[in-house]
Amino acid sequence: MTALLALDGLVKHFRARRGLGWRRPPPVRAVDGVSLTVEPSETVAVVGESGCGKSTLARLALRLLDPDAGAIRLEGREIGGLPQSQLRPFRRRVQAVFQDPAASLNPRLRIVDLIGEPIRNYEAIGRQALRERVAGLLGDVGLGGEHLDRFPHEISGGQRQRIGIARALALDPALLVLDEAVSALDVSIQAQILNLLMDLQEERRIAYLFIAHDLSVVEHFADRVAVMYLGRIVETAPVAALFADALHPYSEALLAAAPIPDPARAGLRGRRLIHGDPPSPSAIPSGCRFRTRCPIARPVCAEQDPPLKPAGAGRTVACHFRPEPAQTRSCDP
Amino acid sequence: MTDANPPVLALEALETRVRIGRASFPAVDGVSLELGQGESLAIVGESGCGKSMLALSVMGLLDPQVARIVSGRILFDGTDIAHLPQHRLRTLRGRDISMIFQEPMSSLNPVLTIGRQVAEVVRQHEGLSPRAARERAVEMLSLVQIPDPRSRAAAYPHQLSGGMRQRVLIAIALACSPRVLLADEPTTALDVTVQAQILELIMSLQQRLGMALVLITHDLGVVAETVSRVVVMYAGRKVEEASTTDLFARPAHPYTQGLLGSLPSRARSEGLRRLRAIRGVVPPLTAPRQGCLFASRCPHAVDGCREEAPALGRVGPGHTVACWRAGELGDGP
Amino acid sequence: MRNPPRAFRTETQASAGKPAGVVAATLSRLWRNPTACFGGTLLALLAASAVLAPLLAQHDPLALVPAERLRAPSHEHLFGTDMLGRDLYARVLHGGRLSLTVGILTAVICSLVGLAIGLVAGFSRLADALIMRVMDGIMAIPGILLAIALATIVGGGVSTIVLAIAVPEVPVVVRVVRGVVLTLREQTYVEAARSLGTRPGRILLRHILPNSLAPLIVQATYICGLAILIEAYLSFLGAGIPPEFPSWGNIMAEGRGFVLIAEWIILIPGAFVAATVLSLNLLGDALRDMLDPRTRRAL
Repeated sequence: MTALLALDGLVKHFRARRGLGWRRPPPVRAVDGVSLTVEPSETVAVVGESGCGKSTLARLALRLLDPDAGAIRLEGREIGGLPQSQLRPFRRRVQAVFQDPAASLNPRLRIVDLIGEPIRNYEAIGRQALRERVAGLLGDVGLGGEHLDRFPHEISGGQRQRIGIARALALDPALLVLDEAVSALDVSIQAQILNLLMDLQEERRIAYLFIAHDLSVVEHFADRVAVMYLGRIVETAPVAALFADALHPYSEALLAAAPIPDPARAGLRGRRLIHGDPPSPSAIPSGCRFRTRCPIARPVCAEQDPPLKPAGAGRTVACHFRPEPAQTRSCDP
Repeated sequence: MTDANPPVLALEALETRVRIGRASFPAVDGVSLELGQGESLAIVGESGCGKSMLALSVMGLLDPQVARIVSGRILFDGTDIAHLPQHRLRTLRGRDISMIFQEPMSSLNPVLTIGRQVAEVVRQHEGLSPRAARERAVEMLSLVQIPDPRSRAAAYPHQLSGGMRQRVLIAIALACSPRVLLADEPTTALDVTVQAQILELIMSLQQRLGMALVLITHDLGVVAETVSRVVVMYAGRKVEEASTTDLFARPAHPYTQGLLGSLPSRARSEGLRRLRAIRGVVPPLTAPRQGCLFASRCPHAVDGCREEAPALGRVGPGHTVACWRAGELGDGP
Repeated sequence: MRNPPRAFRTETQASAGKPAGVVAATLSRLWRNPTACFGGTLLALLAASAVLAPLLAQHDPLALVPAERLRAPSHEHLFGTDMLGRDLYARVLHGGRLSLTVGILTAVICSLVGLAIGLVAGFSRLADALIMRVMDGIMAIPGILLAIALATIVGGGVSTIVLAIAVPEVPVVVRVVRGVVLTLREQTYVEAARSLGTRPGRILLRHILPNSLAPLIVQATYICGLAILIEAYLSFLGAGIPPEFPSWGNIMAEGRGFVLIAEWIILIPGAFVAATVLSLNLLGDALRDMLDPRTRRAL
């Protein structure tokens, strides 16, 4: 089965502008060799902290950015090298929902125009027909037709995110890139939106590329998880396997740091907090990029950059010492 | 709290109203609470619940054009500070009651070194000489675990990471050993690994210095791991107060139950695919306030709920809730 | 990050988007702002006096009555008469028509041309480099000198004056619009539009243009005031409106030789110029403060 989306060795560096000195500051290596696939109807989560490059990755997948190297294949076809003008046919297949519902909707446009924009871009459609289509989409996301002529600021944050989802669904895409789509929402609204997304996935067989930083949401929502650190993927695994037993020391640290809303369990956890701050993406450490904060780092880590290699049962990990030889992965998750 | 051990901070039916256009609306609607010496308390709620306004009211940082305290008392060590003139509040702020905010970058002056900013607070309140203030600044930077504090004191805010900046803010807030620290979403803007470090720092400092802490947050995980008592706010009112253990184990108010129930971790532990979302949205500030404000979203609401607002009643030791049906309902939705 | 609490949304947002709503909301907020109110009222009075000049002035502004020359302001001649016996009240009012016309025309032309060029410059990196170098070239020449040179070469007349004043001001507008467009390009909703397959032209028209109008309007008020001032300079220096047509600058130019004995000939038109420019500046300031998208917090 061809993967719906295949990212292969993707690289994107940003050149910083020349400062006051002679030399140019080193480039920000936002995405530094990422390979990832998303199968049809699957939810793949990409987690990591700020500076890891997950937002840049999202924009590359949406072809809002041009990759410096590497391939992007959508439904088997290479789109990484295409100039922006030739990308229109592919935009129908992959759409986006952004983090800030208020910022992603033009405040001066009515909701019918906001959701109708993608439809008008690809079809010649009359006003009444458009209104009916948009009303249908509003119904799909749990909103009534009374919102058609409203403006974004007249509705709540959760409703705005539903509008963003409706707009993304207008062209019936095969893949939705959700860039921190629930991070800015209150907990109770987040639950509503996640339920909506799950229902939509069942009905429409859409795949999700879910960029997030909240691990508890990822645990519930995703099928597979990729952990990113400083522009590289350091581990991928089926979600249950990652949360049961993370292999990469960074994944372990993320899981250890995430607060648990249960006082009974919170105290019991052995917390091995990592220290310090992540290095800047323009000054990535040699060898393994996590070694400066890694509790199990050894000399070889500074010399050799560990590749992402299979670790059994659909898992991969980029570490010299994981999986430990004693940990033999069996074939069941 | 007994007379022998009076609370260091007490709010009595505090009401803060916000002016929009010609009318005013209660952002904090009759909230009372007590904080003992050295105690840690969390105020939990979603956006629009009034928790930030409460903190600003206590600190006297309300913009008089927009909001003001209209009734109730704020007792610090027994004295009402709600209507103190600004110059009296200035001596109180920073020295006796300190506050840290969500966005570390906007709270620091970008053109002053961090050492200078810490020293300034000390000089202002304790009148130390510049040299003594510098020494104290280095002490504080070391207290908040900034590596190499003496040389880092000469750094500017933009040279530091988000986590470091937040540590600087904590150093500034604690420089004069205040009795009360208000922390308004101190880690929301930080990565999860840094959040864990900062929370641990705040808690250990709180215990070491015997400070009372009010932690304002929307993150129930943070609450479970840090404080001993919790106040839940909804639409400007206090709806529940309990020890952390009691709140999570036996939530009495339907809103609290809904919040906890909608967490992804709960759904997982109950084997549910869909999250248990609270239907509806938080009522806007401008909506009429009749009866229980949660009634429109409450699965247990009866007619009486919409007519009269419930007062806080005891349901257990140190556990109060504002719900007419608190006695009858169980612990879950 | 969280949205600002609902409490702090301003009421202009309540009617954003609907054209009638925007105007109504803007007017009501202007009314409440004392400086805007003052400036707006003053401007309205001045404009009214210019528009209604034929009705308000009993005397013919061009009629020469040598017997009545150099009279001080009186009941008969509210502003007195000039060295040729012409009623100054009528001349100043009619002059206002000319000056305001010049001001408004200049503002409109500058805005339209500047908007068009600024949009292109902000949106296309390629065009940007070329356009901004041309603009820099124009800005390098002192505006007034350029205006004088143009006016002298092409000759007098309202259209040439308008052109002479507008050309040096266009780069200013282009700069402002370009800056706004550069910011707007980074907005999430523009990114969203790209991902939806919206063509660049449509993005420019639907998403960027409407949101760049606000700073443009503020600039336009400043340019109007500036144009009136420059017209007065040019006419005063003899390079502006031909002396047959009364304009504030012309009147002042003619009164130059009589400043010790008939100072009202200079002072009164001068006061009108000052008042007009002041009211336009106050209005522009108030609009700028109002349209500034600050989120107001309780702090």
